[in-house]
Amino acid sequence: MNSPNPRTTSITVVGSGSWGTAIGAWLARNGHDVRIWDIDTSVIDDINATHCNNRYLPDCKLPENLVGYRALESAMTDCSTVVLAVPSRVFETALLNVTSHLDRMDSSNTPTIVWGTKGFAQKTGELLSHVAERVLGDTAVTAAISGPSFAYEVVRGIPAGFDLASKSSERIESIADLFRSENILVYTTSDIIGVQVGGATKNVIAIAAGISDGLGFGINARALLITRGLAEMNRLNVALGGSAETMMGLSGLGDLVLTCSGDLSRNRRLGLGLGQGKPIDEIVEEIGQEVEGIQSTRETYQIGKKMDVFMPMTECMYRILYEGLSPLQAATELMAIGPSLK
Amino acid sequence: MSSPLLEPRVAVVGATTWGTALAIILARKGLPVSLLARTDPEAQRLQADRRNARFLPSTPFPESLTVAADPGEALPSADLVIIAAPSHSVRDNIRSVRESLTPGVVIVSAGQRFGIARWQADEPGYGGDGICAMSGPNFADEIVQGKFASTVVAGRDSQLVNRAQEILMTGAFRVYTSDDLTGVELGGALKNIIALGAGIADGLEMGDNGKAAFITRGLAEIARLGVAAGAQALTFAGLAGLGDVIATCASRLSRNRYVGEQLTMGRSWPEIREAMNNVAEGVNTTDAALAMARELGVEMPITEATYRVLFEDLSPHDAVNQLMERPPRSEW
Repeated sequence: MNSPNPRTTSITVVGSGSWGTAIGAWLARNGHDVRIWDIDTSVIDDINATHCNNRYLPDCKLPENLVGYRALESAMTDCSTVVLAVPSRVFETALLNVTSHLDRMDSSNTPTIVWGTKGFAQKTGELLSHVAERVLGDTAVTAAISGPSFAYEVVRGIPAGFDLASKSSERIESIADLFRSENILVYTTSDIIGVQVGGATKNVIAIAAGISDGLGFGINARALLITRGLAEMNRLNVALGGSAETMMGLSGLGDLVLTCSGDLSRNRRLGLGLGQGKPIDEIVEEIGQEVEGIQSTRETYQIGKKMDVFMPMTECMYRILYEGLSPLQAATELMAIGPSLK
Repeated sequence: MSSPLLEPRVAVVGATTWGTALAIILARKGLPVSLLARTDPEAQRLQADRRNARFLPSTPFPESLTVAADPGEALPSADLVIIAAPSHSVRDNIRSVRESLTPGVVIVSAGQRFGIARWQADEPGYGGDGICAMSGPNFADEIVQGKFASTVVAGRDSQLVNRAQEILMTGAFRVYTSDDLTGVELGGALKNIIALGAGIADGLEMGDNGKAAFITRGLAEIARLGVAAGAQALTFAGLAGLGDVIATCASRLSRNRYVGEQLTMGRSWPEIREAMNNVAEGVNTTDAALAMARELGVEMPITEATYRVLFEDLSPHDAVNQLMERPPRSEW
């Protein structure tokens, strides 16, 4: 189906969690014909019946042109673009599912596959762009979008800014234009590695910043942790082939600042609880939703080890979460690492 | 503690909040520290109270902290002099005490104003390469409580910088070193513009996403100016840039943030200034940064919009709209 306005198109959003729903609402507000699909059909039915996602984004009115689909194949039919917003652990599965229906998409141009998923691939620890390359080859043009973005705000149309990365210099601006709006700035870059590393690693530092606050360490210490945390994230980024500048932008520094300071962040809440001496299981139960940082701490730690990157904060977070190191002991160790006298 | 005779002696010029806090933590480390007040009555009051009743009333002075008013008495024996006086010109502060200093002394400016790097460029030999700048996320009231904090000391002479680090570092106060004097100085000064803007973002209820994006773009902008002035870009992602911005934006007490919030309530800068009994550095910095940006040919849309809100009656709401309308392309 071709839309009457040449600037709008038909887009399938895969994943109806809070982030997928927010992206769907955002693209629908930009005038696109947006179809949202999820393996969990109860959320899809809820979206169609109530124009709300009562489970993941309660109290948010969704646009009428965001329509839920129970079958991915019919959702993708004649679409130009698919946007994935699923948890990173199911990214490859979802992408394989999408790939099997690529032939249903609008055939006038190579299909566009974008992901707003953050994280490393489960098991392999690959960047999602590597997974996409492996699965899609040259059958699609790909892009990653990332930035400081609480879904809860995006769905309400509150201002935000993103980085969008693609290796297709020919298509990158038109892909970014799908997302650009009065309230949303989208910057483009060819550094698809750099744009992904920030989002995949920031949760580790957010937990650390939460712990620091939970221990009552104060504002100066939090600023220290975030700043040194960013330096650590950037060392990994550069080792993986990303550009250091990208990490200073919205997908790195911007997302880290948000995740470490916004009270809505689940990872920060986990850290606060740990700093206050609560056991992990109890905090996770209280939060009631998946805390991605627990998984991404393990992944980041393992990748850092493999690449031989100096990541003392990540190592401490790993030992706190998986080996029972006490947060206070970790803080003391970290401070001793700090600057050394020459 | 080893013999006091072998300990480096520290003099702090200016009984400001920050100057007093540094004097206290260094004296707690056992160093002999002189805190230099501006006048005799001020010194007498500090000595009588054995605390800075005005700025840090709940922290008593350690024994090894002495109070003085005469630079000629306190400075000649010092190995490290910290300039923390409240003045609009760090040059004047240093000039006023310079004749009392002994050669080879380490001078650290803790005032977060840009001026030393330029001074050294303008008057080589007078400003001297020996002056270091110190900047970072440093709320004084937390530091005197013994909470963890960190700062950067930068200078062109690595021996002096390392000596400053050695004297200033304590168990909880972590001192990093840098050779990017221009970057550390500019970071400390220019971050006030971002803090002011963050206040505007809060006042307009732009949300956490928008504020994080604003801080990121603001840092990119001050880094561009810094690079044009000879600084290293990464310095702005460090403690003297990002770290300081995070701390300032998190603080409810920041005067710059306060001004930003007030501006969104329809009050003009002259009105706000009248009701404040304290300076908001961000206002003067906005003016100075813009002049510098024009001279160096750097585009600073956020600073320019802030300037127009402060001095040309542009409404904060319109300023944000104009910034959002700029066509974004490459982030750098």
